[in-house]
Amino acid sequence: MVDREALRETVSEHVDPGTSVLLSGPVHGGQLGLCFDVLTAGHTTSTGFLFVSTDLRSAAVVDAFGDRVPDFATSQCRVVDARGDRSGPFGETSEAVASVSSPSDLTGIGIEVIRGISALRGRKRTDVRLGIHSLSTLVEYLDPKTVFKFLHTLTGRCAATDISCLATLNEPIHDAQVVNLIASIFDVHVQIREVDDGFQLRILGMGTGPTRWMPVGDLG
Amino acid sequence: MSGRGQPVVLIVEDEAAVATAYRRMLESEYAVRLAANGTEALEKLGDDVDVVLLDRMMPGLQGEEVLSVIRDRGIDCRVAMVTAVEPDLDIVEMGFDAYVQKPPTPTQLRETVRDLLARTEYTTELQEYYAAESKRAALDARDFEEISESREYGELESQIVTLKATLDRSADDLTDDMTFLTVLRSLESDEREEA
Repeated sequence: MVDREALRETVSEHVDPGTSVLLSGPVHGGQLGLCFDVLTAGHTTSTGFLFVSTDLRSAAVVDAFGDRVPDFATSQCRVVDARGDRSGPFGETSEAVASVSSPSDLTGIGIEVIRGISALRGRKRTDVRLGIHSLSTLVEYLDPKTVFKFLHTLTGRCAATDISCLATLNEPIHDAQVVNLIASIFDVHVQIREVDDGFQLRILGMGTGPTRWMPVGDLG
Repeated sequence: MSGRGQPVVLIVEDEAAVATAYRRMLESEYAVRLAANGTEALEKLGDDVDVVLLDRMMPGLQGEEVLSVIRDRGIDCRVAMVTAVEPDLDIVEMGFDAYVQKPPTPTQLRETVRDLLARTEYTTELQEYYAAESKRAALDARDFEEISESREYGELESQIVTLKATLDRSADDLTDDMTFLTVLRSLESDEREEA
């Protein structure tokens, strides 16, 4: 059994500035917890977090960073709340949160990503890391072709500006073709699956073929 | 978008002398059309127009109003605002793809048009790359060993490598905010067209 801290280290080893990582697995497979774990791994005072959320409330995103970063200040994180109508009549907006109208508002997400990066870098947070949760919602709202092109453009910009990018996918709800298509964009693919006695994880895309399936505990 | 031949540039400018000057700067490389005001611009705006150079301050329909009609109609063209005022991020949010500060030099004007046309190239390359990756994703999903060892699959893989390398070279252009947003905007407009 690989414990959570060991897993965080194993995955983080493959993440450099500019690297893109897909974390896929079933609901409760722990890919979201792992996403936050890896985003915050090895953080310093120059690390800034940007998070595009189509599913999670902004307050929950901020808390997830706060739980993992001692002396966390909201000024080191920016959330792009792209839940749209589902965020209720009072779309959350604050210094750390910007809202866009819908998960399908790609230009709106793009504008807020640009603003977020420039706000963080303006505060000397030069090591910016981007999280996205969840690609499944984008696929729900948009054609897989559009999602593919959007992600390619976004990860391309991130790679060119040394921003690592981690995104989650609720894998079992998509057919294999969509999963393969989305995975092809990312440098590294961390895949979680459910087996009889819990969850297993493997890592693909390091040029050496997939790792073996490792049993993992609760990833939160 | 025009298929073959010279790309079409529509210049929307109320001062005739200025419009003529722009035309001279561009007509050796592009098919140039002129419109003296916003209303005329909308009449002359067909699917074959690639780039619109839109004066911000005009009598009658303002540049921003013309832009919003262009976007509403779903015309797939790139629009640069020509303005005497120092522009900022607002222009990006209004939906312009670029801005040209008045008065532009011939080089600036030609470079803006060339740059806007290059963004179309990026989206074309992205479409080709998507088509190839989508084919591979479909074959992989079937998971037959004989497929992954076939000659066609090998050719597809090397095609993907070439397309990816071409796109990666363009990735540097995406660090420019306006270029990045132009690409996202065109993805959204394609999505709406197909819906």
